[in-house]
Amino acid sequence: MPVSIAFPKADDVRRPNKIKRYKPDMAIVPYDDFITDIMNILGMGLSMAGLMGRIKICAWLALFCSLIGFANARSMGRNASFDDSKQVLSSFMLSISALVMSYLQNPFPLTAMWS
Amino acid sequence: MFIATHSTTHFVLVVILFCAGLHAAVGQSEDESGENAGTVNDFAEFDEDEFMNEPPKKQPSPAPSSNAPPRSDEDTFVAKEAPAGGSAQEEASQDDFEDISVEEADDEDASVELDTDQYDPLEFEGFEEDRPPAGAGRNPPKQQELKIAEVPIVLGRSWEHYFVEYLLIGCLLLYLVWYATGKTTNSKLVQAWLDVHLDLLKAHFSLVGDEGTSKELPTETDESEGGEKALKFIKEADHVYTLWCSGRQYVEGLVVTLKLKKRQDLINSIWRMFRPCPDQMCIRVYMEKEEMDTFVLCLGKKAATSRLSKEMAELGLFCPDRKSGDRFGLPSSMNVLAELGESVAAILDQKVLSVLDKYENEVDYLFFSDQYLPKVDETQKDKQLKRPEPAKILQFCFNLPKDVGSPNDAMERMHPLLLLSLYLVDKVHRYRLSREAKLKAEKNRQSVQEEFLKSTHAQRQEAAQLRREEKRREEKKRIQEEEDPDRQRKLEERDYRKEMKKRGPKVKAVKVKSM
Repeated sequence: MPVSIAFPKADDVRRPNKIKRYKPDMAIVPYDDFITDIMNILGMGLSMAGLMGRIKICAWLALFCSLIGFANARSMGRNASFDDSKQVLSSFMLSISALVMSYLQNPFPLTAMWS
Repeated sequence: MFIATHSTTHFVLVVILFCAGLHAAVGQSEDESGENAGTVNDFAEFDEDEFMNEPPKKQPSPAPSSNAPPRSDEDTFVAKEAPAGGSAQEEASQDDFEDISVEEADDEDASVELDTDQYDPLEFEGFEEDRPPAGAGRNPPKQQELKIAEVPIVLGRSWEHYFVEYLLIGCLLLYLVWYATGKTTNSKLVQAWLDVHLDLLKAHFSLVGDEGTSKELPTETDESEGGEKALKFIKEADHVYTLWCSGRQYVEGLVVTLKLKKRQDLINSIWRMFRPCPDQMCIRVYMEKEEMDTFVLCLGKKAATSRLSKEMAELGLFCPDRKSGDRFGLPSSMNVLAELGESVAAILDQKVLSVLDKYENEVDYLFFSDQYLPKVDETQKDKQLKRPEPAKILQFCFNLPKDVGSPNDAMERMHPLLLLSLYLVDKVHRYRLSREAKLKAEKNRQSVQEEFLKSTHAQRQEAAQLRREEKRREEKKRIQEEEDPDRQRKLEERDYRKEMKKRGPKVKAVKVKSM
């Protein structure tokens, strides 16, 4: 059964004089998405462990955390209150520095768990 | 780090040992040369005061340093006056001579210092004792053999030992590639949606696609010049896109939000294999105040309605009981939450029912509310003393079909649902509550308002107290700043009287005339 909802073409429903501008709080934003925040905190903790404890695997995990945070980040620059770009950037910096420092101080390769 | 410190300490140790060895060797050779100097070199310098009574073989040459005082004639005279004999004494002094020449050879500057003035014994404590005996240099102690700490053999520094790192870098690259492809897939889907629905939206709205940032509205000319640029979804995240439309009768605006799968996130993609969730198209319509009557209604899939009743506070307040969709001619997979029974029947006319029946899988929920309150932060919630003016919204959420091949086909299937949304806007505009229903709705809203006021009673009292105190403080300040002392006194008195009046018991003083 074809379903059709037809609007009469004759009357124009548009009202140019009633235009309202968009405000960011009108969007249906997924408020429940805290993955970026969680990943930032986790990444920071792991970076610290990598820097202080010279645990290389922690530094690697921190890098992955910041990558996941980056993929889930809310868009850059659209709305100041939802902007994750700064956090993501600092998380990246911290994790990379942790990785570099741990390899500078101990350039030995990671040992695989199975070996 | 451990290795680093270890190697550093080892290096320092080696350097110290090396220095010690070098010093010993140098000392030996210096001794020998010093011996020669003692016998041959007559220009060796020494302190005259020390060797006052010894006749030098020759006049000592003046110190090379410019700040050394020139030798006076008196000194020379004393030296010349000294007895020439006493060969034994001379022999004894020869040893001293040798020592000094050794020191001199070690460090010329130091020798200058030693020459010009006697060193302070307090400053150079134990200097004399430390000086090695003259004969010691001739038989140097057996050199200690350098002990080299065993350094662990460096294993696995070659590139092939870094395979765990290679694996991790591979994961990193895989993730990045996944991110790029997922992002493009999502943006393609959005573009497909726009291709299909743009004409309809343009027929209904004067303004389609506004970011709210530019000062001027995007106009038709903009679109024709750079259509892509002017008409763009707002990217909230890599999987959430928003489009704003406005300028239609009965509505303030309409937001289309495409909540797609997180295709850009590899971890989420793996997670979704176990718990699939569909792409969603959500439409929120902001109705004009007078174009919608007062009612709250929600119908949709069971899971969706229960989720929504947690999200939207008004659903819990106004529609506490949920009913199965069967009773209203809806598919049995749906639930209905309604404040007023009659609104369900009015909204669900034959057309709507047939669409809902056909698109049972796609429809997630339809939500009508005149009491929508935008979410506020918990921190600001406490400060809220007045209930904000609720907005009148319609919110519809539809799932995109999964099993359709190309993105355009999937979006074609969504087209009637957008039409349904617009149809419902007009339907809601036309719908008016009956007298009894209106009364009931008013009563419900009244009680909710009262509840709110009750909950914020303490806070409002506190705020009022603060305001009063602030007013008093300002009054006091004004009195203090008054320059005319007479006026100031008067104001103070008035203030005092006012205060006493406030504090004093509210009992009328009655004068009793005694007879």
